[in-house]
Parts: sequence; structure tokens; C-alpha cells
Amino acid sequence: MNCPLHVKDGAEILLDYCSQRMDPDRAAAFRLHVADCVDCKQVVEAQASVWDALDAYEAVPVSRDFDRKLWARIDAEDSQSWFQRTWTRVVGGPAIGWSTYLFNWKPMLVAATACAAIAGVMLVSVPGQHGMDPVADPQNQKLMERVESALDDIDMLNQVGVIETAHQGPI
Amino acid sequence: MEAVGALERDAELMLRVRAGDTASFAKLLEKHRGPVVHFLYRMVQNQPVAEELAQEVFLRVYRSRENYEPTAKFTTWLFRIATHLALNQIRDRKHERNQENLDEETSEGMTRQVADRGPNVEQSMVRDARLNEVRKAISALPDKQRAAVMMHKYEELEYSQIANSLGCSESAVKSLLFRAYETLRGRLAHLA
Repeated sequence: MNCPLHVKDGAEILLDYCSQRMDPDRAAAFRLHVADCVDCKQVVEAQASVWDALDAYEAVPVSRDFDRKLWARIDAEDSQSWFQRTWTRVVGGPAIGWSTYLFNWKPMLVAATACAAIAGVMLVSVPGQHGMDPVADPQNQKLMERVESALDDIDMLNQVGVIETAHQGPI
Repeated sequence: MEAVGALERDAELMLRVRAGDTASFAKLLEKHRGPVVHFLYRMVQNQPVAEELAQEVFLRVYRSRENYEPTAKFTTWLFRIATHLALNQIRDRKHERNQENLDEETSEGMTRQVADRGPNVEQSMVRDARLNEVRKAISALPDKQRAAVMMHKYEELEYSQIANSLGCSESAVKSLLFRAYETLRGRLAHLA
């Protein structure tokens, strides 16, 4: 067996063996290697010490009211309005620090972009005041006709030399 | 086989939660509450904060129930959420310059950690000193290495699960673990 310390994926072999995740046949073969390899033996023994030390880092019992508090939060959230729930999900709860707030800015940005896009589409496509094409609006049509008529009158009067502009010439 | 069955049960329970069965959520909570709190405690080294974060983990699982799809193992998903919250909490604490002095651990935390194993005071003191060495060594690890070690050693997650939780490749996880354990060997070898 090639020494794991000197092969490309050797770290995985050592990891698996030291954490007892290696299948029995491979483990037996590796044990034979360790018996002859000073370097590997040193690593395996040191890792065993680390493992024992980490075992001493015992788990702390969970509080008795953990579940009660969690269900209270769930019930409180369920009784919120849709808006309040969405706001809570975007901004985060009391345990969430500023970096999680920043982590949550992405959905806010998406929501803002979506709102801006919707607003833009509405502005572009929104019809006239009464839901009709401005050009087709009867009131606007009458106004346009009056303007055209007035321009025609001015043109006619200009042709007959009645109107004088400030520049002493026809319009 | 037993492990596979357990994983399938988790997915089955979560699908029932999706269907509105809160009793199934209670079963998942019962099963995973401890490991999640313990993982978070070892990451943030503060019991009340760890429990607060653990509640947030389960709250997020509950919120996501309607969209749940068993595409990944339940524990992978659970610890991905837990890892994100833990890493964010650690970053927040660094920014607030609120590094805890391990010698000034809360009385609640110390009380809970000192198990009444034997009558000998000296043994207890030696044990506490050893425990502090371990906690300092773990605390000194870079955040992702710490998270990888916690998931590998205490939760016995597979490399693929750890990779999923940390958002990196399996080979990156193995590299993280190898470097982390190498560092720990250097710091804890004298405890042998």
C-alpha cells in the first residue's frame, strides 16, 4: 500500500480511517501499513488523541422550554397578517444580526425590481384618462379640430395680408 | 440500511408536515432538536444564542413546509440552514467586537458543562482545564473549518452533506477537514 501521506488523495484515507468510516477490508490493510510506517503511525496516534479530546466536549442539555418557545413563535407568526409574515421573513427575527439582514436584502432587491418593472409597464401601457386612446377621445378631437381651424384662418388671413407679425412679415 | 431508513422517515415526516400534520413536525423536532442545538452551541459557544438560532432553524423549516421537496436529505437541509445562521452570527460578533473570553463564560454555560462525574475536585479541575483547551482550539479554527469539523465529528455527516451545507465541493470539504484536524493535532496533542 502506498503511504497516504505521499499520495494525492491520501488525506481522505487518513480521515476515513481516523473517524472509523473506512470499510473493514480497507481498514485492515491500512492497519498493516501503519504498523510499518512511522509517519502514518504518528498521525494516527495524534488524531486519536484529538478524537478523545473532542469527545470530552460534551453536549449541553437543551432548555426544557425550547419546544414551548418555538411553538409560541410559530403560533405568533401564523396569527400575523400576510404582510407582517412577509416582512418578518425579509427582515428577520430578533436573533438575526446585521449580516443576516444583509443576507436577506436579496429578496428585497428582487421585490423592489419587480415593483419597478410593473410600474414601468403600467406607465408605458396605461391608456388615457377615460381608458381610451387620447387621439380617439372626442373632446380631444374637437379641440384638435378647433386648433386646425384656427391655424387655417390664420393662414388665410396671412395670405390676404391682414395679419402682421412683430417681425413685420407674414407668419 | 438502518440509516437509510431513518433518512427516509425524515423525508416522510416532512412530507406529512407539508400536508398540514403538525404532529409530524413535533417528531422531527424531537429527533433533531438536540443535534442542531449542540452543533450551534459548539459553533457560537453560547448556549442561549445557540438555542435562539436553533429555534430560527426550525422556524425556517416550518415556514418552508409548503414548498418542501425531498430532493436532498433532510439533515443536509437542516444543517445547511444551521451553518448559515451560525456563520452569520459569528461574523456579527466579530464585527461587534464581542469576542467572548472563555475564562469569563456565563455561569449558566459553565454549570451545564461541568458534569458531576466524580467526587475528586482535582479531577474536575483537570477535566475543566482540558475542556477549555478543546474549546479554545475549536474556537481558534477558521469558521468554515470549524463548521466542517463539527458536522464531521459530532453529527457524522457525509462529505457530500457537509459540502452541501457549506456550499463547496467534496474535495474542498476534505481539504478543510484535513487542515482543521492537522491544526487540532498541533494544539491538542499535549492532552494525550
